Amino acid sequence: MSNQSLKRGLPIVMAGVAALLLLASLRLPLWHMRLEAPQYRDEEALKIAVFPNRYGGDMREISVLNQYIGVHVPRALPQFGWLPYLLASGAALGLAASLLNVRYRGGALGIACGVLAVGVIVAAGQAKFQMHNIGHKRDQRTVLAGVHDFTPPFLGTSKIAQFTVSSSFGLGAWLIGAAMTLQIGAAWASRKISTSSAPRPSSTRKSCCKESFETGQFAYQI
Amino acid sequence: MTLKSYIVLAALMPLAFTACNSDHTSKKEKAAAQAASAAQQVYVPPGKLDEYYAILSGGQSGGVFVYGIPSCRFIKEIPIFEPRAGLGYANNPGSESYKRLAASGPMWGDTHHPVLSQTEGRYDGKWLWINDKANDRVAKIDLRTFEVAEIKMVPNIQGAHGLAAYLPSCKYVFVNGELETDAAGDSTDAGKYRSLIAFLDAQTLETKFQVSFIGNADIASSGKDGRFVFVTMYNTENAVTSEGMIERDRDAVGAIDVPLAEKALTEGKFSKINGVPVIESEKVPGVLTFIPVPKNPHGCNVTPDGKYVLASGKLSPTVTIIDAKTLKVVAEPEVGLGPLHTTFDGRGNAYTSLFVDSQIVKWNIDKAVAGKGDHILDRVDVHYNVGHTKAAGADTSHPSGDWLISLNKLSKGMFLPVGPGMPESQELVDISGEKMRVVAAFPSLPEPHDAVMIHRKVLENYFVQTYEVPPTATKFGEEKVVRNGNKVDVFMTCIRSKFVPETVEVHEGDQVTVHLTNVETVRDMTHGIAISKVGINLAVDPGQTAETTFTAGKPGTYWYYCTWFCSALHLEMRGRLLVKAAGEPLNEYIGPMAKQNTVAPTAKGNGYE
Repeated sequence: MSNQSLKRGLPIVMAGVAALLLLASLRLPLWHMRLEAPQYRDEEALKIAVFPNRYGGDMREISVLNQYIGVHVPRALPQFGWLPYLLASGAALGLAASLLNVRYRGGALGIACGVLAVGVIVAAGQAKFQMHNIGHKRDQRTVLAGVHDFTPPFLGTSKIAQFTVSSSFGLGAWLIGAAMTLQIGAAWASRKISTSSAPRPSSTRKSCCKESFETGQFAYQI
Repeated sequence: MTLKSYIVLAALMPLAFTACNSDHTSKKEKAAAQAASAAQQVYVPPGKLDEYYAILSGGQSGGVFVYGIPSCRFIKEIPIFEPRAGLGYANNPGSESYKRLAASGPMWGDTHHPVLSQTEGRYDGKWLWINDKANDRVAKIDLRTFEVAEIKMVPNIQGAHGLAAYLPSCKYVFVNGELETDAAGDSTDAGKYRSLIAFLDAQTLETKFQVSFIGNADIASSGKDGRFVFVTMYNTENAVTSEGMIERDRDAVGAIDVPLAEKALTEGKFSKINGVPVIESEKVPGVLTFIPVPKNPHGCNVTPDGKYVLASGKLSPTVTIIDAKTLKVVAEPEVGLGPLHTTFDGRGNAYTSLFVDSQIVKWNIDKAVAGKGDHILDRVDVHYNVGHTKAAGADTSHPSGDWLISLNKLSKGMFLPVGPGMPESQELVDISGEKMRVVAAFPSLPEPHDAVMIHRKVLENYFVQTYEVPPTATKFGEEKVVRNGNKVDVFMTCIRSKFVPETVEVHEGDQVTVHLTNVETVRDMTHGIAISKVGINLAVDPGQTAETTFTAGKPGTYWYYCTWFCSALHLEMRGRLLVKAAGEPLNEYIGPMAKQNTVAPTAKGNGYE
């Protein structure tokens, strides 16, 4: 395989891997929450996992405990309805874009990645709002007096009633991040192919990138 | 980085490891030292006695458990509301214990709150009372023998829960009806429900009077001066759903003015329900005062000096401190999540169990009343979800302030795994110092709710080591078989290593009553009698007599044998019940074998030793 065809194939491979990662993330948790208390220690700590389309973990136990604290946990999140489609379309779009003519490839990949990014940001924004509600829209009748309104940590650790609550991204979130990075990388590589196949006079590769960046053509990749 | 700095770093690495390692080792050493000192505190060598009896209610096991403290050794179970064949308790129709239990209600119970009798503000070691929440009974245990002395059903109430002795006289024990009903009219209309607090004669357990009101009564505690007794009330809503019971922001502690109730009785201000005088609280102002406290309180505990009554918040992170004379709330300090019960050390400190936090919190009562927010002195983790907690002597005016028991609801891996059903868990906490220390954990059958600890010195003078033989008991050498139609009474004795008589002949269908007397004179020489295929086991301690009645089955030989391993000839200690067909001649029991073969026992010994 020639150096040139390797260069041409690389974005396709990257977009393909990105698509696989995105498809894998459909079945993986995006986000974890771990709740520890004296009677929920070590391996018995309570865990919540949020998948693209559902909750996982000790939801029943949490809802039992909620009788005390009166936590407002919605039965399902609106994200469960559209997040799987977003991820699947992100995968398909990215892969399709990588197969386009080299001239359009970078831009199309960027758009695919941009769609994903916007979706993920919207989902995370919704999640932050939902987490505020968990600790503020509580059932006042079942509330265990003395527990003040709270917002569980989106990332990191805090104390809620008798629980030490820690939140972190799940493998799915990391895969989505990796897939987006790959798509950006593929777009980048495609730019390089298109610039090297139609080099602008008097511009080195380095200055080209700088220039492009400065002109905002890559803005969507950031 | 220069080469030199790499070399310096490399040289320092082992030092850093050593430092980490020695830190790790010193932590380990510290933990080992702590464990060793805790072990020393609870170690009681074989042959030495524990300082305290801890008497734990047995919950749904229907009796109480006796442990030694500080060793946490299990010593005895006293079956009360449930038959226990091994101990020959209430398992044999015809036995006194069976008749007493059956006459009082079902053959099972749910015991919650053990209460010790007091004289002048100290445990006197005479009686232990306990409730049966499931069947509305109260039992009295004689601490001379650690056996049931009386069981009575309490009329008109359901869910006999909180139990306490009326102090200082202990002339009543009073018990709360936690579950509301219409005792007067048997209506199922919840609007007619009332709750009652029953005052029982502490000795006979007859219900002397009751006070009725709308709402419910949970846990009980007595003031120390003979005026008020207190109960927590979590359902002033009089609701019938759990959501309804937590609706109001405030529920109450009820204070009953006992002398005023007694006066109302003499003035005839009561109605009778099922023969029991019932004072309707609305009709006698002052007899029941509702003191508002945060919603759904649980524990109710009067301080040793009698100054305050403390209501533990349960759903509120507070304990409400109420002046026991003026009935005014004086403070409501925060202590932690899920406070259930409070106990005392006699040094002005309170110890509250925190169910949600799984902790015992130590706090100072005077500091809490002063309200500067510096009342919390210490916290210690317990495993897990503590319910009741009780310090030694905490119900008296003179707690000893050395040991505290945490009665936890979940053990969750505290002990060797034995399948999904896990034992209950108790922990022993040393409260003698400034900081609390959990020094031991011990499992039990389900399910201790509350405990009392009494020093062994209090009981030393009361014990009966062997029963005094009543004049009616069968004497050694006077055994006999008495026939009256198809009724056969066998007056049998046992002593190592013989049942007398060794052969009993009856007809098929005869109603046989065995009266077995243990004529041993040395302590701890218990005998039992199991009759093969009849499902009977009796147990008799030295000097004790027990009875059982059964119908003789189909003809044949039925061996009876001793169930308590007693001597080298234990296995030979057996006899035959010979059941013959109707009309077949019987060989009459010809007389005491003892007179023929052996020497009758004297007061100090017997012919078989």
